[in-house]
Amino acid sequence: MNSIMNIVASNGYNYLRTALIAVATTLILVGCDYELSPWQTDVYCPGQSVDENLALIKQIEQTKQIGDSFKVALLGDPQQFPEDFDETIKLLNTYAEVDFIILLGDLVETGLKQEFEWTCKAMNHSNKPIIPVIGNHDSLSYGVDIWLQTFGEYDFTFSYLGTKFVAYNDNQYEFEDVPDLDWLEQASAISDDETRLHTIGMSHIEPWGRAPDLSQFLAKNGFDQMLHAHKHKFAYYQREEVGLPHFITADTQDVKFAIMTVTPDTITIEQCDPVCLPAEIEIR
Amino acid sequence: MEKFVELQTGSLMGMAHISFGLTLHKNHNFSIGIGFVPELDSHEEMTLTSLKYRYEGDTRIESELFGTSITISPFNFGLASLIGHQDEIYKKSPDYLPDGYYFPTAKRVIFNYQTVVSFNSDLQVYMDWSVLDVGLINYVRNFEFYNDNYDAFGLEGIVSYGFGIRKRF
Repeated sequence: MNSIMNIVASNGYNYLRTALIAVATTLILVGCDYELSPWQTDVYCPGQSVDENLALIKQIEQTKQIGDSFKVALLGDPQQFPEDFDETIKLLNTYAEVDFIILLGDLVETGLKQEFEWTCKAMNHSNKPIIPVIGNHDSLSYGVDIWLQTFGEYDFTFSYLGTKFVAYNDNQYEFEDVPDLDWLEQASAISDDETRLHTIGMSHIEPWGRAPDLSQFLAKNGFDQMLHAHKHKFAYYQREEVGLPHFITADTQDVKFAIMTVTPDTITIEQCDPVCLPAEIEIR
Repeated sequence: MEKFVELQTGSLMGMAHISFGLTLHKNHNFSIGIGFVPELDSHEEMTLTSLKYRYEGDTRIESELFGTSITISPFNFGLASLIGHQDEIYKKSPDYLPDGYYFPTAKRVIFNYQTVVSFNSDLQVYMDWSVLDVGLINYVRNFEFYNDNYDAFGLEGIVSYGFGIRKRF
């Protein structure tokens, strides 16, 4: 031991230089961030705002015509498992017939900057536009601010080949006065010069809590398909007295997703685990 | 029993974080601290409090820097419980949430590693690398993802760094 210490002492400068080089190299290699706290809000997530992805969807739409059938992938709850989410994204890259992806919330578990960046890293591996919908876990900590800065508004709409998609915030523990029924009514209204084949609603959570009759309200306002996540397992149901189908997609753990096929007359959904099978609707 | 005061910046502990501590049984250091982040574009104004433990390894490298003797302690591992004090995060689940629905958003656990340079028996400077609780859990669960997408075995994706100075009494 003494001899080792003697060598250490006699080679002090070398050791110091080695240590400093090691630290500097680690810094360069690790390239880690100087972060003030876990609650920072400056998420680095280039190219993943809703507006940027809608611009890409517009470009795809221009290669088609209203009335053409199309497919959309439905993903949800990738939080805590970015690896499986990444694998799901990469698998969907091979599905040339899928035009875009709807990500139905809970991108993260605790609403922190680092978590959003991990999810964004996987999103950036997609060769398709991804439209994210805010989930309850996304809204924790400063997630509501991060969402606005990174992705955009909580409620938004877009049209694709004659189908209107309406994304709304239904995270009732984290937000007051949601869902915004007035906004939903306006968002689903058909304008005089519009050709509308379908109206599809998207929220992280299925109708619940303060809006128990939401399904009826949505059906009355012309919605003909609803998409959700939150429960981490596939489910597909409609209330007998309402008739509006609600599809709940599973989480992406172990590579799970759904494929929705929209034709001028029909909307069908397959649930993929990862082999795709038709989703069967349950009457409740 | 030695006492110490340390002042740190970054590494998830605030723009400035001052801690007061005790060294027990040579290697074991306990401290409590208070930190602050001013209002910034990327951060709400926030006060932070912490309870920290650091294990200081026995390895020492003696050297000299600009004619001054220094001692490098390369292996220091620590754990901190960090609480953020701000209205939008909570230490206790609010009444409107069912019990156990979420973990309190104002409480986090931070794991850290330090390299400490002592200029004399009293004064130390250190570099701190820290990993958030959720970072460590995700890294273990998703090692391939981090290894494939970030440098240094994926650690780039989860590690934050900071610096500090420590005065022993």
